[in-house]
Amino acid sequence: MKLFRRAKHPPSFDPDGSDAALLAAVAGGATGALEVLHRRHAPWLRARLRYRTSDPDLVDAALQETFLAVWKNAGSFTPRSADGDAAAWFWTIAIRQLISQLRRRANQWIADTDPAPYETIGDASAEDLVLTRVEHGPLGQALDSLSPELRTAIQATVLDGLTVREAAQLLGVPEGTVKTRVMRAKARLREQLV
Amino acid sequence: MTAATEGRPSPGTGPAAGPLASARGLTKRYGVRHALAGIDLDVGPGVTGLLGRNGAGKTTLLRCLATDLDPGGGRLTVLGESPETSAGRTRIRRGIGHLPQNPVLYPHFTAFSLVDYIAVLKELGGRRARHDEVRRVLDAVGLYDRRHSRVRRLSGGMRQRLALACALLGEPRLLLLDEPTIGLDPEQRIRFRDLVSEFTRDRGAVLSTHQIEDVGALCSRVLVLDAGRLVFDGSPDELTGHARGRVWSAARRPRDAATAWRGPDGRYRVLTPEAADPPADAGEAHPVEPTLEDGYLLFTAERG
Amino acid sequence: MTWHLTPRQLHDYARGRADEVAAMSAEAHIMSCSHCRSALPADESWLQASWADLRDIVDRPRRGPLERLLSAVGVAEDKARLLAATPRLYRAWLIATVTVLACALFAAHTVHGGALLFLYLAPVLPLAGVALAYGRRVDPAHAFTSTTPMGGQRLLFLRSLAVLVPAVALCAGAALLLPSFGPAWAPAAWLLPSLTLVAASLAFTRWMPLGVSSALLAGTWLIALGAAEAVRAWNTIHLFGPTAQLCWAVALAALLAAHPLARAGRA
Repeated sequence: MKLFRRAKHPPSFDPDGSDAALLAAVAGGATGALEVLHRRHAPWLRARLRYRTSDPDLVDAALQETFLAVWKNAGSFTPRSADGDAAAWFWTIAIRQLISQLRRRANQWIADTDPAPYETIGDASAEDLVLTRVEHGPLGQALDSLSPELRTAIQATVLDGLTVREAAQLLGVPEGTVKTRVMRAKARLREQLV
Repeated sequence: MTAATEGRPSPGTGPAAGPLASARGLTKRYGVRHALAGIDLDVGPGVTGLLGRNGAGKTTLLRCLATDLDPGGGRLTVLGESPETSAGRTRIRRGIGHLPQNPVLYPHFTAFSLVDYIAVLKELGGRRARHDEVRRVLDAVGLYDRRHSRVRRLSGGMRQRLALACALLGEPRLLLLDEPTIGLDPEQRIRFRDLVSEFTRDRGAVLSTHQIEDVGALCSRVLVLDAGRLVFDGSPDELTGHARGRVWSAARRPRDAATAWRGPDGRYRVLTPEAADPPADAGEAHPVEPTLEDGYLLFTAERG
Repeated sequence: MTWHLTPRQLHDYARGRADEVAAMSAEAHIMSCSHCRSALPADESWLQASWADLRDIVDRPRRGPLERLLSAVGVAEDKARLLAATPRLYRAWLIATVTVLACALFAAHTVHGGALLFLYLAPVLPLAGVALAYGRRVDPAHAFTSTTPMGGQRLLFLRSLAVLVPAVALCAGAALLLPSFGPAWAPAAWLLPSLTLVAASLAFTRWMPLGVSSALLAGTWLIALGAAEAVRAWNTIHLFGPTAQLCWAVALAALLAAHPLARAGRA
């Protein structure tokens, strides 16, 4: 198992270093660096996952799988920003682990299959980019006016960055419904913001 | 580090009151030589220091307390149990931590797996709780970062600390440490003292050593063994007090001194057998403040 | 980032009390603001427990193949740990056993009456293994293990088991390769004498060190057989005959019943 085959002497690291530096140390087998990352990211990941499911056990299980995935795949992280911040990467893993936990719970008698190729709703459009700036200005009010169904559909696909299929699994509705809701929500937002 | 010691029985649940260990007329013979020639002793909480020359019986006494040797005669109870029966020995062993003299460890084990192995032998139950306890003791001796190194790749001081970690497993009520500070550098010795004095707040430890500074810094009580007999039993201050008025700084080495040695300033530090006038034929001499070492040396020199 | 979430907003979000839009807003913000991320109030005891769980998985020491095999056949985790952890001499003994068996087999195939040599040697091999598995002389860490609750008879018993199983397996394997001699059960005739000698050497540890008792028994066994062969006064094959096998079985049962662990189990 790859999990246990690590270098004899894990690299030293700076506990106040960037995520990217810590992940590099984790890739070299430093459990201490993983502990720093856990302390840094587990609290907000937990808070955020708890808005996606009401089951705290599922959140804890998903978080443990998240950090195990980080332990195994730390070497595959490529920093996008100059400060080496890995929050978005952590979230991508965490939300998918949560979906995988949900799926496992839903189909406990079915063997866990590899997910089929993901279908995404196009590339990040201008609207999506506007939406990710939800903290600013009138967008908040516009979102507020959406029905809860439309809002969660937007949240799952745009904010959480999930594919249609993943969003359908997270929300527990058919994929077609997710697509329709996302389209309707975007149309409503466009009306209100333009 | 979080310590997880739940799920294990409280060690050596004998009568809680009374001394941690007690000996009456304890003897041990190797052939015709008496390694222990009638020891009377009660060990209470805190650190008890065991001083004496090589061959004075320190290791034999510790090994008797640790149930490693059967005493030849006399009565011995440890943690309220007698080591005479196999069941009694097992109950004692659940409550003690023993660091043998010159501990040898399997060189091909990693530090973690070695301590884990001893933890299994100490019946620390449940893999998870046991591993957490192993991590706790490795952290306590400052070896957590080297836990996956093989024992043969550790320095002498590190191995000594690893052996100490094994002794600390399961928070024993009585620690028996045979020359624990050998191979430790001064910083590690300070750390060791801190560890042991923290550990013995509500527990006991018996520590055999040649490092008299360790005794002064750690022990509330000192025992001096000589040729299998207990020749001193008291506080470190009392041992120092034994030399009061018998320590001199002299210009020459006198003939009838108990012990004398030349200091870096060219003058002789002279210990006299009696508290009396300045030593004869030592030239100009003036009394100096005794140390713990002076007290100890006077005890062993008197009998040498 | 020019602005930050207020402590109130952070607190509400962390506690799951923020409404949906406020939560979405907070989430979008913390993704790009490490300051607010680290300012989120965390449940310290949860964090520690979560890390302890995680560490237990990523920091588990690698188990050797033998330990995994033992676990796979149903040996408890801690017993597997003890059985797999044997002193270095154990390997030397294993190699010596294979060598001796190979020589005995060679003799059995080339020398007349060589199969008898195999019967003589097979009981001594486990005896040597047990002697090399436990004790102050052969186990460098004996001073450490002897003062643990599992030290003494229980560890001795486990170590003996760790020797007996491979020893019996190796001897049995070698016996299958013997040329046919005597009755059909002859290739298995060494088994009961072998187990009885080991049990006797363990029983004698009440009075003497294990190394001494094993050497004594092995020496007595070999010298007696050698002497009997030399003077040809008595056919040594009787030692392995049906009547003798019954005696061996009775002796073995008696020794096992008198073993301290068996007595402790009954008490």
